[in-house]
Amino acid sequence: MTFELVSSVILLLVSALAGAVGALIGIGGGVILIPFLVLFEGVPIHYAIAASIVAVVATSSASASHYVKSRMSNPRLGMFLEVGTSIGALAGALVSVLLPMNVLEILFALMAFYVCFSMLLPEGSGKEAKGEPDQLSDRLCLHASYELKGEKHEYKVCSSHLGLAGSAAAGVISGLFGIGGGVIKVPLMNLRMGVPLRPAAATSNFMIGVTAATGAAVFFSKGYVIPELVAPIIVGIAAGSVIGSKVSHDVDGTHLRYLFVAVLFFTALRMLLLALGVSLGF
Amino acid sequence: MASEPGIEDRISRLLWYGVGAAGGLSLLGMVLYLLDPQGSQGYSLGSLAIMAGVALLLLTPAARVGMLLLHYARLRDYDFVLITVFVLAMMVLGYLSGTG
Repeated sequence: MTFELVSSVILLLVSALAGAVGALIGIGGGVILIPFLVLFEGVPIHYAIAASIVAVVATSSASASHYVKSRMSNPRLGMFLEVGTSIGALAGALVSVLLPMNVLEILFALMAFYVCFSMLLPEGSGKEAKGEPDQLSDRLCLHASYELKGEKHEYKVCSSHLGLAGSAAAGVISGLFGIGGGVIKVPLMNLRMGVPLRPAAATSNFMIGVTAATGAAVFFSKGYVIPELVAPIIVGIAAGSVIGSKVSHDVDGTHLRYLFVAVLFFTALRMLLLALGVSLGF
Repeated sequence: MASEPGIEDRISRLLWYGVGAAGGLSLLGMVLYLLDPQGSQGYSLGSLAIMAGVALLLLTPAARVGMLLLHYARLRDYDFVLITVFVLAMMVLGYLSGTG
């Protein structure tokens, strides 16, 4: 691999696009960036995952900074669930570096199909959990409140054991594939633990920094982080997500969402076929 | 009890400056690298700056957990002291995984 000016600029622009689209439709850029690196830049998947997970640390920490300040995220709940996500991410990343490339590509494609599927479900579908708060969430004082348009909303956290187990699964996915894993954490908190959507998204974001850093630490210390590859991606994704979140009020995300699902579906399909040794020539 | 008076603003600042410094170092490194990819001293100063930026970036969330650990210790909230110590230990194991 040689990293020239041209490929750095292309990487920067593609990462900016991934970051902007991610911010607009509420998903991290990693899931689209990794197949791009593998299929179009010929980057081995482990290096692509390492670059992505480092970029995820940057974007999630930057936006968490905002959500924490506005008291939208729930630090106690986040810290508690990080017990699951951190051990999951550590295990996931340690397994990921051991897997052969084509196995990892097949698993990645399957995960991407799941992301496609989950994005076609209407937002906020399913019923928000209204279970009785459990003893553990009472003991740890996980309940909180948030303000929206000057109005204070309180909520009680329930099913904390299920949440912890689900968070461990989300951590494994994050460590294995180098993505943030918000696609699991947000519905888990929202639909199962009784956390309203906005604080669920903000708390997921708060957790992703630690989850991704744990996985990224494994890839970093095992030498999968290539500086020349990672720098334009960090800078591009960060710039893109700032721009994306600034214009998100003026853009209707619905069409973009379908376009994203279509692009992701075909790149994942191509990756799957490539890993299985089938070439379609497109 | 559920809200953390004051700690939110400190976490917010820590994350912001951590990511800012890491991003700045990476950007600087990228420019240096593109100006002089091979490095005249046998190593690329640009690559070194980027790796320092990445290391700083990966330490930022750990510093956030450390900050909360001190916060909970001061509040004598031992359940959360245990939780933060556990998470910090997982992160440290991650950093050390390449050295084994």
